[in-house]
Amino acid sequence: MRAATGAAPGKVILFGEHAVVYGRPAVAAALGHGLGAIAEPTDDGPTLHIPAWGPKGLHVRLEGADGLDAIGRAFVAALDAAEVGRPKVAVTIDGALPLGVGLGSSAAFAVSMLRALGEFRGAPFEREALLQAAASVETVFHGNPSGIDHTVIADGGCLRFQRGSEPAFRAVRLAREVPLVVAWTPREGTTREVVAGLRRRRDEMTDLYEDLFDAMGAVANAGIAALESGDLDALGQLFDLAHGYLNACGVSRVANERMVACAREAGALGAKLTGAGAGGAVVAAAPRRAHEIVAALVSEGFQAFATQLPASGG
Amino acid sequence: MKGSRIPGFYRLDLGARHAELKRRFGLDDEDLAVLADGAALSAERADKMVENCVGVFALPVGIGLNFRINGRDYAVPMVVEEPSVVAAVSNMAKLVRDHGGFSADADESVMIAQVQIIGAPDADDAVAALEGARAQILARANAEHPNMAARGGGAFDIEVRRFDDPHPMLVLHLLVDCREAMGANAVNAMAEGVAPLVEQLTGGRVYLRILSNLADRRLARATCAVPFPALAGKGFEGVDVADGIVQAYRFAAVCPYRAATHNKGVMNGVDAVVIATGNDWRGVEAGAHAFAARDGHYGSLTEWWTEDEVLHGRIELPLAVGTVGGSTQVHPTIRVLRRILGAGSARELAMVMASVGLAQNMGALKALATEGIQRGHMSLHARQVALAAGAEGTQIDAIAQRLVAGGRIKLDAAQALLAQFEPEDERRGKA
Repeated sequence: MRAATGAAPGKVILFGEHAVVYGRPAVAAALGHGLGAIAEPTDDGPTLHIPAWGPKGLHVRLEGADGLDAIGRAFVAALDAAEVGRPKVAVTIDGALPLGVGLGSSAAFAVSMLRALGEFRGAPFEREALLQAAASVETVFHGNPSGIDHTVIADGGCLRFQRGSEPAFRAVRLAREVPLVVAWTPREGTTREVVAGLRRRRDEMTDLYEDLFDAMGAVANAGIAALESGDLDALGQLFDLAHGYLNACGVSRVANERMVACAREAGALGAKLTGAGAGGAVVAAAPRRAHEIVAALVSEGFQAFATQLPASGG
Repeated sequence: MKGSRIPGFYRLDLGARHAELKRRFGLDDEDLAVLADGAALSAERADKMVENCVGVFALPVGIGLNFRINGRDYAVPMVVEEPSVVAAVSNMAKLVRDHGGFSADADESVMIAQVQIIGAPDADDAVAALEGARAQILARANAEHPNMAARGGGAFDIEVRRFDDPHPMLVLHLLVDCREAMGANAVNAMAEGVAPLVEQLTGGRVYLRILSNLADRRLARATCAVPFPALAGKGFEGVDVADGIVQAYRFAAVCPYRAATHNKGVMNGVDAVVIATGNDWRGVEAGAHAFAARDGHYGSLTEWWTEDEVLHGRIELPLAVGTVGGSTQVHPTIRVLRRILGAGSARELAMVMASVGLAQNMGALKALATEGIQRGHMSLHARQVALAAGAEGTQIDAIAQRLVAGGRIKLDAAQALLAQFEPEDERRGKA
């Protein structure tokens, strides 16, 4: 029997995290892998199964359950957005995307599940409806999501984002596939805390920090040029520059520095923190020796995988 | 609609043919320059495609004309070095076109990814574990190549094959709908991505994880029907031509030695289109021949039969071809050729290829059959002419053979030959 399928990539912020809060451009891209979802008919009410999450996997059953956790509420939000009522459907989600380190797991969760439900009901989501539905699911996790995550994850590819510019999103064409290594470690604080800490420092020495954000915006634009021309050496160098500025902003921790150094030593062309920082993830440009870089990071006690940004139009 | 009938195309010179392409398919001068220049693929680009690159190799491109498939016209670009292939296929397409054209259909673009599992402690348990985790395996596979499922395709089912003595192993199949792509990269990524999960579920070790070229869920089919009178010509009765084609098909159906040659003729046409559209012709070849041997006996990819004074033909073969990915992005000529063909989807492309394969087969069988008939007719006729000229005994066959070889089976020719014979025979008699 043919299963109803859905999938969505993870995402990585390549440039401009934090500076984006202050109106500078940021660049985010969909990864070559993410989460997959399967929706199948079942004998009892809607269920959600995520075998890879938590020590024994996650099982959500709506019937007779009161006081749903965030995943359960997100499942309800997705069923509501798909306007399927409470069908006898079993949704299974799987994939090697880590949770809560800024790689877009919650948006990929929302988009992959919605796509599978769209196929299950026999009417795949149109783009606009999918974006709207994904926003309503993501709200369960993030309160008020910026939209960059589910936009890049639903559309795929690479996007430039700038608050207040019109349009806010612009597609960046990747001239070639960009091989990356992503590594991560548990977060040492929430995004809210990290953003608030930088806000305090910036308010104390506004001009100096604004200069820093200008430089980060310039790196983002140079990064777009490198992606559009397929110049991976330049991309690596710009990763290193961006990481230095993020460190100067005070959002990097010892763990981030160790991951970045380890990736560079093992052969990456450049590496930087990605996402909010304070632990979490780093990304390295790794056209060669990707498996050695992953092995080096793993041997240092971090988690890591090799992935890629697919070339545009491929 | 772009027509595929261009009467007299073969008589035009290259420049005039280009003008036709320009007019009919909206090609511009740049496109034509790409066609005219056999090295439109630069050595610099080629160097990024293969290792130790030293240059670029060119082949002729012809246009298979007259194709009408499911009511639509297709001018079919064919890359092939063998003479007569394009002419024969165009002639047969014309014949079929005059009687309703080809009917074709194609399956969804389903590829099979294989994961080989060795050393599972208990094969029954391992099979049960894989089947029990079907949804998770499929979700994981789709997570490894999200673009496929995002476009409405993706891994949608599994199968487990079990092999016992002499080499016990389990093989997990992922069935993947590749939509517009041939799908090799996606399918391989999925097979690799599920490997750790498969090891965990079965307790065995995963060895190979790669697509199968026996794409038997991705079959394309085409049929045609030509009434006997349309097959008649050059002194042959339509019924004899139809019978000759059917006998030639039966030969391939029963005999693998003939089937190999028969199917080679089919692939003369199929491969030419596969190459022209930037698809993997080795994969298509491997799939076609494996499919031809699917029931343990290597047979014909086509089938021919007669019914109510009509010759019917049918072809079915795996066609794992796509309209995106592969060399389409890199090779400028392929972009131009795809514009001429105008097949919008992977399934449509497969239907065109199946129709071309059927037409090519028909052309080959018709030629072989009529050649056989012709030879039979001619030697019978020549014997009669030799007799009429007064030949006797062993002279009859000898003179008949020379008449056939000379191509002129007339009484005066036979008499001239006989005149040469007699002195020779007399000399021989005296010796």
